[in-house]
Amino acid sequence: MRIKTLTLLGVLLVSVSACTQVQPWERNYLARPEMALEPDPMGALLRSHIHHSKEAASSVSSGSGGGCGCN
Amino acid sequence: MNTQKNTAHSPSALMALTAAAMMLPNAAQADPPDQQYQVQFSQARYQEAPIPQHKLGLGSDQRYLIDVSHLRFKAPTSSDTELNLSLLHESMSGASPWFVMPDAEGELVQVMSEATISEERTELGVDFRSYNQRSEVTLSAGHSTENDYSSYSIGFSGAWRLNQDHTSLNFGANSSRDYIDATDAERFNRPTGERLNRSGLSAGVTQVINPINLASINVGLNLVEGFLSDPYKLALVGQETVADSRPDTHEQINIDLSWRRFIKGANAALHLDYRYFTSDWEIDAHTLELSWYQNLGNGWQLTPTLRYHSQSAATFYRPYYTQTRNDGYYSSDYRLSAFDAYSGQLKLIKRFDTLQLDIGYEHYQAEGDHPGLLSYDLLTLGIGYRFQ
Amino acid sequence: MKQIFRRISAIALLGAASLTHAVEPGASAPAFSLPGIANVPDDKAINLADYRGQVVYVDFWASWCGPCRRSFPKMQELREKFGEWGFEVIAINLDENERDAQQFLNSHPVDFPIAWDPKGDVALEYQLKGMPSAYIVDQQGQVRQVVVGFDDYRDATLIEDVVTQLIGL
Repeated sequence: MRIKTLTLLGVLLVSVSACTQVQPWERNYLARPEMALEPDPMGALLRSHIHHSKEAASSVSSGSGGGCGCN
Repeated sequence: MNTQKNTAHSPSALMALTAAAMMLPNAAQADPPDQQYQVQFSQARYQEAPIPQHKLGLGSDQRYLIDVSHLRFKAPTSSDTELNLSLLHESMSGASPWFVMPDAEGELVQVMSEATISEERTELGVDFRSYNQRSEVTLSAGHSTENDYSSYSIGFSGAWRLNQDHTSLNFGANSSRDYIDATDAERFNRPTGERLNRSGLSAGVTQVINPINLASINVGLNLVEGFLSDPYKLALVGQETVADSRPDTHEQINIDLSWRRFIKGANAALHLDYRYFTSDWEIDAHTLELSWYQNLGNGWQLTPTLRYHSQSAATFYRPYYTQTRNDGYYSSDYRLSAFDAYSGQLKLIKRFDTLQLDIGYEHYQAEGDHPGLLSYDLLTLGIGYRFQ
Repeated sequence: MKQIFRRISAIALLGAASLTHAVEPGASAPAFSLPGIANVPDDKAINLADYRGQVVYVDFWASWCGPCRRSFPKMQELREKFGEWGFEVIAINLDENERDAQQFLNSHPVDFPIAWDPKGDVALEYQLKGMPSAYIVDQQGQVRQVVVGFDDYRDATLIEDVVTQLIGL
């Protein structure tokens, strides 16, 4: 029974990832510059620099991902 | 009351500190290097509004006027590596907040420095990005210098792409060392030869949900130790002023959530970002930012952005102190007070084949009990050029 | 419960089965017939079968894909170099809107035939792993090389070597 439950879980996981499958040629919207996590790194750097000079919160980040998915 | 005069006052050390931290790249791109050279230049000016007369205790009502010039150059170094150079110069002038006191009616008023001060800061950054089909790594180094403050930083960030590029695991580590030598140290008994060390770690996941949705979560941990006080700020304790004095460690955690959605019908992209920040100084902050990237055709794009920030005060913060504290910590810096800040930005971009022009305007307004909380207007102009 | 389980396993198996069908060297290139949108007489259909006896470079691309942009001059160069030796390039565009493809072609002019697969049916059959993807098909219709992505140095050299060998130069 436990094996069955585990298999079911695994199969569910596989089908969930199958549901959200985005084919390489379907990334036209994700590849757009405005869909980047940060479309304007230079402007964002300036603004966060200013905001952080006036507020207590600073941060560490390494966001990446998304984009064209081209190789 | 101590009314020492401040002649060569510098802007807050905190500013340089965060600047050095922000220097580290936020590797927001997942695409391979585009094999192109790129030059970008931006010029920004922002003016902090004068302090209202009813909130001014003593000194000048003029806050800072800041000009920032930023030059960035990107060059491909091989088919899957690229080098980024960044040079930033900032010049500032104005008066800055000293300490807070109650006026005759018991209302809080800000005591400002008398003289207008000028200050320059230069920042140099280099980063090297190496891309593989399944992963990428960025190494970075930065140096920032002004007459009373210098900072050296190094950073490493990387990403693994999994699950047919649907998932990206991101991680980063960075470290900086800052040196503080306050101006007119002997005259005003200010600190010299102080140091500050900062180390940060971050990890996160970015997930493609479907062809028009992308979400990301990122967690960062920051440890800062050393001289964390502002060498130029004072606090009123009873009838005396004392130097701003903060704990020598600060542990910070931030959790960032981001969501990107493309709206086909409007030919626009929606950005939603939320940040939760908490620290062992008991500062909790929530920051929410909403942007709408509207494509207008012919390479035009208009982007309105709204931002809301709300934070609680540091545990040892008071606008002024009626009695001495056992721990010896005093700070009346508005940055450590509880307040809400609202900001609105509008940005217009025009893209040509290899050239890009942009113009942006932002208004920022902070509201809270501290009389030194400010508002500012920011204007930016940018130009970018790509070539083979 | 049992039925749901069966259905889910069936879906999973289907997924697994389609994964094993990725077109790899040695496999025969799946046939296709797609509308031609540029460099074909009267916009007639492009059939892979019509090119039997030639070495064909089947390329999948889209206007929004950065590396695709870089591969276009290389493909044009290949065609100019090897065209007279029984070699052709067929570039299959995967943009949803034909206008995006035409705009791209205006700024990246080429001579080889361009086919259009807006729903990605042929791309799905080839099980593309990335963009761009190229399949070098020999005179007998067999895939001899798969190139995923485009790198100006490595891939360009590899492609040229394989084509040279296949046409027997």
